[in-house]
Amino acid sequence: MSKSIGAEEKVNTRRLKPVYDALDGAQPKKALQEAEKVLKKQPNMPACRALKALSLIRLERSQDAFDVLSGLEKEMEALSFDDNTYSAMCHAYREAFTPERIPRMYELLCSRNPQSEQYLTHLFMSYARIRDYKKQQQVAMNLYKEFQKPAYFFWGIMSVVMQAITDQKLGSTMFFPLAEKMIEKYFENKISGSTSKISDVLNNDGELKAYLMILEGRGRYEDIIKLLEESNTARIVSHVDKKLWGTGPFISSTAAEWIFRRIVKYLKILKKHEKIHQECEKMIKSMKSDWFLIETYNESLISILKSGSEIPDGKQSTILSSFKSELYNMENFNSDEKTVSMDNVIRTKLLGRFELMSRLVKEGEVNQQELATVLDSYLKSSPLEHFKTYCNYYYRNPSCFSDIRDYLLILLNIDEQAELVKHLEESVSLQNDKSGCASIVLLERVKRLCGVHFLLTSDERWDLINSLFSAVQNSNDRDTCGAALVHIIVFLLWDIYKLEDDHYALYHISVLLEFAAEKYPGEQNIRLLACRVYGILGAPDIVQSLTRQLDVKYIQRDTLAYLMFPLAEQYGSFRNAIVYYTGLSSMYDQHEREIAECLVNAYKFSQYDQVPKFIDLWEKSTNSVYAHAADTCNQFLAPSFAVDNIDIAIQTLKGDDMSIKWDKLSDNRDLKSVSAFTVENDKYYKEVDKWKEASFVEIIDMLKYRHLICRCASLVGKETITYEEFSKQLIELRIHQEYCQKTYVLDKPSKLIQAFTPSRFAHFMKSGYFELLDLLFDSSAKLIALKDSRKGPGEKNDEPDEEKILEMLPAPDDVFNAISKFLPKITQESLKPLLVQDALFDCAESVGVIMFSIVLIKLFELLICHIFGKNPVVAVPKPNKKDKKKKDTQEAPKEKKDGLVDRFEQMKPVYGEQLVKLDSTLDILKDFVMSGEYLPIFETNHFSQEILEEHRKVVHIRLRDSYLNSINHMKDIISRTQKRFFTRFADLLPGV
Amino acid sequence: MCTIRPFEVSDLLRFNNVNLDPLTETYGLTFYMQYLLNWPEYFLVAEHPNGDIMGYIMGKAEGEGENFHGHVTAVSIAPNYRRLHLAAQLMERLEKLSDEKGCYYVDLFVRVSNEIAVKMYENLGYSVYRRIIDYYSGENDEDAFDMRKALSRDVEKKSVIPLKHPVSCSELELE
Repeated sequence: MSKSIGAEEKVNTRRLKPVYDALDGAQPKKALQEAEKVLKKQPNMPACRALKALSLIRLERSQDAFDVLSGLEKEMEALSFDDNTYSAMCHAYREAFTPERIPRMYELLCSRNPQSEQYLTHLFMSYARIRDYKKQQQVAMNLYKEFQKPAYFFWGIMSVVMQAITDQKLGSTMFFPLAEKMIEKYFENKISGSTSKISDVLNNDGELKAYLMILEGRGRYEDIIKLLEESNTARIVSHVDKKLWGTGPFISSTAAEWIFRRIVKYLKILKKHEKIHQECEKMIKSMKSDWFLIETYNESLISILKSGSEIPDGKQSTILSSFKSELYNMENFNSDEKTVSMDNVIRTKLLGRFELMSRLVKEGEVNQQELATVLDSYLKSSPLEHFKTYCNYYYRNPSCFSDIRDYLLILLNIDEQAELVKHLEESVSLQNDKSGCASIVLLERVKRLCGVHFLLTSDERWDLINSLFSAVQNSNDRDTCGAALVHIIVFLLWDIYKLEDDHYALYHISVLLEFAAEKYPGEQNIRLLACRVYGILGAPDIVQSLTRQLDVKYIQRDTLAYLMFPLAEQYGSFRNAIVYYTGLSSMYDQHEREIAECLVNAYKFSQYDQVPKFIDLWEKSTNSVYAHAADTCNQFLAPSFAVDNIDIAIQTLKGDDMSIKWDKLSDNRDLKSVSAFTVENDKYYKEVDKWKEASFVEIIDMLKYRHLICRCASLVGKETITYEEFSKQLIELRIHQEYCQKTYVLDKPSKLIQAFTPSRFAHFMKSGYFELLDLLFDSSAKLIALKDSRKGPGEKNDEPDEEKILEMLPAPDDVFNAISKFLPKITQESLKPLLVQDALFDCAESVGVIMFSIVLIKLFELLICHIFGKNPVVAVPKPNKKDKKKKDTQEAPKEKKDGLVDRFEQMKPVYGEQLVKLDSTLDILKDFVMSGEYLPIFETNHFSQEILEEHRKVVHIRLRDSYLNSINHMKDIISRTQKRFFTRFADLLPGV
Repeated sequence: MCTIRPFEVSDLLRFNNVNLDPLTETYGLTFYMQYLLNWPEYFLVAEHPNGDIMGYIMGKAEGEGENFHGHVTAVSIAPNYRRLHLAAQLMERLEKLSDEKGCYYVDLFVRVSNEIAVKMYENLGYSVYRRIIDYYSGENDEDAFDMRKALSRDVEKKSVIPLKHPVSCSELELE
């Protein structure tokens, strides 16, 4: 018997090999064909069916896959399959983004095989994937009870810790105390005569870190420090082979550092500043240029002085006197270092002093004058001299400015700032900068930080731009200093754009950036700046191409999504927008799956400290505002521009059933770490932070609005819709709309350089688009109320009153007027160079809303079908010639019969006329673009016209092509809509 | 002057200033997370006093017997923080850790065209062990240098005796 089973397995394995091979080779189509071949011979073979489902999922035929999987699930209740089948099913569920179906499978298997370690661990992992901590805990503790492996106990402990972290209130009162009790009991049982310390019974650093999490949750910081100081703890975190180093108290360099930093962390919480100070002093000579150490050292010193305590080794206890001695102390930093260059020693010393001095000033302990006095008397120096020294030494380092930026304005008064600028100016003229243009870069950055750039007259600003441009031309192509100078010129031009609302400056910037992109091909900041400028100029195609050149991928597509979002749809490139959103959406799905798998591995590899961190990343990624933006914007756009079936349109509008937690959305935009943008003062960055916060809220409000109109629209097409359900959703929409109308009044996009692609929701709110949608939703509500009043299926209903329905449907004139309100009024005369994008924006927004309203009208037709229980309009034959004659004699009854048909027919000229107007507007725009007038004549006494001529042409061509693509795309949509919109009751939607 | 600390998974959300560099590859999430799980001690980040990520190093320890070695998977410094010998500092950390682990050598792959990097590694004591044909795929395939530096355990420096002939990627996979 067993032999025959073995033989059967062998045959199955042989038969399935081509399927596995095709799947491994990323050929799902071939895998499906191979699976079908096997199934012809063995139609019920479970493993093959599971592999077929997996192939179908990879071919994006999820529904077919789920049919196969559901069949297998049903059979599973009575039959047992082989492990290959379960494994393939598990893969299929994961790849179909339905990990919640996996636990059901393993629950069944575990109930059948309660002693199976394999199934129980699979069950644990399946709960870990969906973060069901409570169930995880139960399974882990069962595993531990049954198999007594420490890892299972720690899986259980981590499940409790995660419950504590998730629910902070219960965390402190219930979950952390529970975890503490569990783990201490565990240790009690482990600790025996020969082992007396907890660190002796820990198997790896994962277990240690899990225990630390619990102690931290319980606020037992003293105990943590004690544990960290145990010699075996160092061994555990040393990550070295016991065999190699024997059992001695070996501590690796990374372990020593990790332990030190951890201890300092808890000493800070315990406010044991004296102890920290001592520990730092011990470490200072052995750790090279470690900023953490210097920062902690300074922080502890000030805390001690503030608390009025004595410094441990009897140094003076007043701020200033201590400061004096600490300054000398800093002289000793790195004195024992042989491998560190002199450069680094000076850098460490000076930055350490800057840090200490600015901390003293910021905390109000001393003022600038007192500092100057102390420095003068003890070091015969001053803060200004320190800055001069630093600049003299390090001006060639690209980071020189970043190093001193945060201290300069704190430590120097206005006169000293001016003196530093003067010193740097003299240095520039002295050095004549053979090393490229590093000293000019530093000078201009410092000037900008100190506000000098903002005091320039227009002529002075242009003079500076010219001289900087000359320096750029003279710079070495491989020298990043040249590119840094370009950034400064861009900022100066941006000032003109910002202060004088002069778009001509943007033109200069774009030409300059094209020049710089060619001269410095590796300089990505140039491309980032170009994204911003071309974004303002309304050219999504160019920005898309730039993001490709920037090679933005994987996680960067989330943190840098602001470069592109929602540019394409704002300027009428709807198809590209849908492709972009779809790609973005898949990326977030992919990340969700990847993080879940890594989370499972964190348990498997006992890396417990990574568990909460991975979950945090999972939350940030899943709740990223752009993850929801991609879905919601596609929900809004796809029915109008990409879907050709009304049922799919309804499904798309509905979206998935998961409710969005708007208050949990995460802003993952990485705006600050682009070095080109970090040359302004703190006031400026506060403005950026403020804008970031406000724009985040604005994106959420816009998404919520879109989400609600999509939901309402999907309900209009829902066959079983009730008035109660619809009105509830409509009220939610209206409340939000009212709030948005009040909140988003001023359509004035920010001119901060970091304020990429504003959503311009205020423009939408004040342009009257929602009035058209309101009109249609009002009608929907009335029609749904009428539908609601009718009897259910099987009961006899009166023929619906068409007159009544007609009254409820929107009047064509009202629709016409509502559209007229927002249609852009553009004439040839109103178009101005460098402002085409405004007209393009208006047209695109109008096209978007008109197309959405057409989808709504299609849904009305469906709603009427639902009211009649059939298709009344198609059922009414078109009048033929004979009928026409009859109509002349018997007008009254015919009028009634054709009422609904007429109403929809009347919509045709309404939309037709408005679309023609929009098309003409686009023609005007197109002519304007073709004539080349979208850009002004590039006459400049400022830049070298000859040098930039080629690049000016590039800007012209790139902008023209992007504008024409947008215009032609919108014209194409209009033309298709005019041809296909009134295919009555056909399942075709207009824009496809 | 910086803080060198373990790389955190949340750093992925703000490492663009380093990774936008054309010579720095950005990988899928799993790649970074697997390194954090398997070799957390080999994944370090340098942070500036102002909070910027200045650069990072990721690596691993692998191999059997005398082939047990540290490997530098990626080391990258943001353009704004170059010329501070930061890459050298990070490499030194990795080498020290590998030495403590009992590795015989540290190795890394670098594009043959990346002369600046090759020179930097040479200055740090690395030498070309072998050339790998078409190691980098893309628009234009490119060879890599496999560069090595012997650690204290390899007393006779056997691990760095250069091979005479280049090897193919398939030969590499067989190792």
